[in-house]
Order: sequence, then C-alpha cells, then structure tokens
Amino acid sequence: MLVPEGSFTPFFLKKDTANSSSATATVINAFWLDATPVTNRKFQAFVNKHPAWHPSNIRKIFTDSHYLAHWQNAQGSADTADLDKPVVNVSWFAAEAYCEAQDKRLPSTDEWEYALTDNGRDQENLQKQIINWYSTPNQELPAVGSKPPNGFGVFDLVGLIWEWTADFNSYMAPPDSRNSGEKNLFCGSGSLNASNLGDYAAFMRYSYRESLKGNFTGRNLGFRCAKDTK
Amino acid sequence: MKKIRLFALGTALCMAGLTQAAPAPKASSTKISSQEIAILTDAPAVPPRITRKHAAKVIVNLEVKEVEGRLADGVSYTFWTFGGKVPGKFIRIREGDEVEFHLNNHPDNKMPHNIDLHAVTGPGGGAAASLTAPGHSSVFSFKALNPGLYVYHCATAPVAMHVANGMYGLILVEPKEGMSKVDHEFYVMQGDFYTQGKNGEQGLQPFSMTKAIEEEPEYVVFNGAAGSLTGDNALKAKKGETVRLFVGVGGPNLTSSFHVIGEIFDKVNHEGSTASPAKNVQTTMIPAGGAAYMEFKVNVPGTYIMVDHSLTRAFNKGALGMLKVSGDEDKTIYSGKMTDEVYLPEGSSMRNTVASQAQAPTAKTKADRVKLGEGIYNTNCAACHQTSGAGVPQAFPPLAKSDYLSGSTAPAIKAVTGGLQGKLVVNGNEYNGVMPSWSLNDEEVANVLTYIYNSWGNGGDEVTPEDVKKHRINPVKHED
Repeated sequence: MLVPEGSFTPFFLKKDTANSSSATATVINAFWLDATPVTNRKFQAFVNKHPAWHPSNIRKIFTDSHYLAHWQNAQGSADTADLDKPVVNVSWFAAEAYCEAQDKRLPSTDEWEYALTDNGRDQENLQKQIINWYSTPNQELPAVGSKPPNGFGVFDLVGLIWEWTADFNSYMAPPDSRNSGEKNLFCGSGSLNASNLGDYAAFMRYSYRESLKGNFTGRNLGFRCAKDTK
Repeated sequence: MKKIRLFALGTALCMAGLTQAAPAPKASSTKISSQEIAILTDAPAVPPRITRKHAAKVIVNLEVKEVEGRLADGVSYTFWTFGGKVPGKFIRIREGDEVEFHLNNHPDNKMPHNIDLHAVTGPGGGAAASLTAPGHSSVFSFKALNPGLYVYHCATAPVAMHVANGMYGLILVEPKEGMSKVDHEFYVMQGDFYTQGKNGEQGLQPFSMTKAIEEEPEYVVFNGAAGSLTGDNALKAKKGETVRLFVGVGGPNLTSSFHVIGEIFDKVNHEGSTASPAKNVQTTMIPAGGAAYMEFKVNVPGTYIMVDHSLTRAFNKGALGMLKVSGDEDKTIYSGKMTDEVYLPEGSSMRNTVASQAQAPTAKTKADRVKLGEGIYNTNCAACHQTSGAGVPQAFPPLAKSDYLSGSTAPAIKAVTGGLQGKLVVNGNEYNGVMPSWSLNDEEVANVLTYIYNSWGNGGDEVTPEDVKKHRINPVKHED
C-alpha cells in the first residue's frame, strides 16, 4: 500500500536528536508499505530460494537459538496450517535479508509509527485495541488480514504481533542508563522525553523495541517490508 | 594454607568446604565464603530464617510470566508476575551477600520486563541492566549493602502499568546479627488494580489506562486477589504464638493504612527499617513502593481481620485478609460478650419530642383532643404501634381493641410518661420488649391518649391534662 506523505509527532525523538526537550512534528515522505506482515508461506519461499537462511544453515551470529522455532516438522519447514499466519521467531538480520531479496527494506520506526497513527483517525479506539492485546495472554495466531485495515489500507499493525523496524533500538538510551544522562525508559525518567504521557501503548512499543538486539527472535515478533516511492 | 588460598582468590568463588574454616570474626561477615541458590516462596509463605554467620554468594533465578488468573470471584485478569503469582516471589538474603540475579522472561510473554530492587545500590536498582525481551534472560549482580525489607518491581515503561499488573514483590536483607526466631512469618502485599469493567463485572477484564491515570482502582487487594487470605486461605496461628508479618505495598498508587482488627502490633519496623522498632502500634502507614514488618503475640483465639483501614478499600474493593488463631479462651484478656441488655440512658431516659418545644395549641374539646392527638401519635407512636394501631406481632402490642386500655386510664398514662419494660400480655399475646418514656407535656399526653381511646374500637374515654398530672411518672423536661 502507498502510505502518503504527511507529518506526525513521534512519541520519542531519536537519541541523537540535539538537545530537544520534547518531540515535535516530523515529516514523513510517501512510501510503500506491505499491507500485511510477511507470512510463513512467503518466508518459506524465501528460505527455499536462499538456503543460507534455513534454520539448519543460518549463521549463529545472525540469530539466537529460537530462529523459526515453530517450524517443527522434519524438513524444518512451515506447517501447512500456519502458511497464512505471520512468520515469527525471526531475527532482525533475517527480516532485513528477506526484504532485500524482494528489493525492499524494513520500514523505519518513524514510518511504522506514522502508518499506525492513520492520519489521526479513531486514535482512542486504536489505543484501547492495543491495550487489550497487550493485556490478554497469548492465543493461537490468526491468519494475517483477518481484521479490517486502517485508513491507509494497512492491516494488522496492532492486535496481531510485534514488528521489526530498521532502526528498532535507536530511540532510547543504551541498555545501561549510567551512560545515558536522563534519557532512558525506566521508572520515572521514561516520561521525561515522551510527547504524550497518557499513551501507555506507545511506551510499550518503544520499550519492547528497546529490549531487542538484532539477533533476537520472539514468538510474537515478525515484520513487514517497505519501499521508497522513487 | 586454605586461608591463604582464599585470600589470594579475593572475591572469587570458593569451595563449600571452606565455610567450615574458623576465620577471624571481623572477616567472616564481609568475605564471601559460600555459594547457594536462594529459596524463593510464594505469598503468604516466607523463606526460612538465615542462620549462617557469614556473607555468601546467592544466586536468584526469577522467571517473569504473563498469566491469566483470578482477581475476584468470576473476574479474571492478565497478571504480569515475578514467578507466576502476585505478589512476586519472596527473596531472603543477608547483609553483605553478593547476589547474582538471573531475570528470565518467558518466551510466551508479549512484553519486555526488568527489575528494580530497592535493596540494590546502583543506578536504576538493576532496572537498566535487566531489561529483557521475551524468550531471553539477563544476569546482573549486586552486593546487599543495607539491611532492611525492600520492595522490588518491574520498571519497564510504562512502569505504572507493569506495576498495576502485579509486578512487585519483597526482598528481605537480614541484618548481620540476624533476626529473632518467631513462630510464624507471613508475606502480605497490597496492590491496586484498574479494570475496564466495574468492580464485580464478570469475565476477563482488560487493564484500564484511564482509571490508572485517574488513580481510581476497581480493586484494592492483598496478595493479588480478593479473598486470597480469607476463609480456607486465612493465615493460621495458635494462641500464645508470635507472628511476624512482612507487609509491602506494590501500588502502583495507593498507600496502605495497614491494621489488624483486634490486635496491637507489639513491634513495628516502619518502612522496613532495621532500626529499633516502634512498640504498641495500632495502624501502620505503608507507602506505595515501601514495606514494613511487624510482630505480635496472639493471646486470644478468634479471627483477626487484616485491612487497609482506608475502609472502603477493605469493605468494597477487597483489601481484607484473615488471621485465624486457635486455642482455649482466656477470659481475663478478653471476655467475649457477657450479657446483652436493653440500654436506657440515665437521666435523659425520656424520648425528647420535638413537639414539646414548640408552642402547642391547647385543646378546648374532646374532638380537638382527638384531632391534635392524631398528629402526636403519628409523630411518636406510629413507628412501632403502626398508624392502624395494630402493632407488630411478637414485637409491639396492638393499641386497637386493646384489653390493656379497657380499664382505668392510669396505666396508659404511666406507660407513656414512665415507659414500660418486661413481660406484658395484651389481647392474650405475650410481649417482652421496651417502651421508652416520652417527654410529652400533660396536654400532649392527654391528647394522644384521647386519640388512642377514640380510635380503632377502643372505649372512647377522654384523658385530661389533670389526669395526666395526677398519674405521670417522670416530670416533664421541656415545660413551656
């Protein structure tokens, strides 16, 4: 889907932003964004074509030990029942490799968050949906695109899985706050730089991304790809 | 020889055999000379007292789990927990111990988590060092420099939500000199919960961000659920035993006015401090993110209710627990109820009526008396004897067609002005109640009795103020 140009106020500014005490509007150029997260079917096709990313071949440096842990059959391939579900248990490196193979890239965090803001449509309901997802224990994942899209025509940004972004951990402090001055995400100081203190859902997304490293995988962590318009 | 090796190794780990060496007392309390895995317990249990006299390396393994559980009857909630339950596991270590802390985030969890232990000296109390994605594990270590009872909690943004979902627990750092032996130690922790549905609304209730920010919890509970310490789950002790409670408040927002109904805390260590305790305390204030421990001897059998003495929380929102004490009664300490008697206040034993204070009209005729008497009756008498005069079976005798009113009017005047108490037979039925004396003036008594005698099939007598004056028992209090 084409996400049109626009601006939004990021929840946090990137940590290299100079001395800005509060987040301000950021302009996002138009970009292409996959309408749904990448499915097991598509990722299977990618692995078939690029065997280096098969669970038995992937280089240890690119993932932790849970890479594609849900591909349990003898061939180490996706279960047929799961083909239309979002692929999870993939590291950032694998996600990036997949997108490159499609001549795409991972969306930036700002692009992803901008797509979520949906031009300001129905934010209250959106936030409630997100909180409900976070406060419900894991259930069997449904197929992608099971719920209506947002105003940009993008499906499943919330309520399905977490998604990798290209610059997932470039917003808050490094993991040890001793090196970070006041900018970090813990206890009270998390609220010092946020643009909307009432948006708990955003705190959760940013802190989730901050907890990741490129080789991490998760049962609720997948991705979708993006592409420049030019 | 062994000692030299230990010295050379500095703070490195040593073999268990070395703990038996007899080092100088000074060194024994600071040098790490053994290693152990911490025993962790779910509330209300507390790990055993620490009896070793030296510092140790203690390994703590704590697993974070997001689980659906019971918040109240028919109400479930997705708790985020340190160890599977709310509150989190109780951790017990000793001053000077070196703790190697492993925080494991279960792969099924959706959220990253971390831990801020208030017992830790260092930035974030371990929070930054322990941010852990689902399916991962973080390790950090700290030295327990200060003894005391401390809260630990998750500190991942949004911290209030992580705490509101149950991510808190207690860590006890015993002082070097140890803690005295008691018969029972219990772990109680209070927390406030913010559900989208109102208190009692059934089913799985999602977290309400709005109510959390407004600080308007639907539930305030001990140990993670309404009823977690009542009925069969009540704490138990025997008469004569000493009980120590470790009580923390996770919050995220409310402080607790912690009180045990019917007990006085013999000792309270305010705010978890190991300084000498306060003695003989009724209610102790425990801040959010704070703790206290208290000791008391249970002398009298019975059920003692633990509450947050901010009472609507106890009464309406769940902050209520029980301590059941078994054993023989000791009537010299507490007698129980000895008698139940009707209470008639001295002196002011008359019911002061409003009517007597005002300038009352005076009746000229019997018809006037009946008319004025009706108002007095309805104000003062109808509540018990009913407007129909029928009374209430077994409680209040009837005035309608009443044989009590068939003879002289004197007993009726005496009853109204002096009250009645004890056994009384009216129309063949026995009553055993109380009628207070009424502080009505002579005119009013005459009017109300005339109304009664001229209603509901009674004899039609007229009672005059002179009759009343003649037979009245108590003097009029508010004579005009």
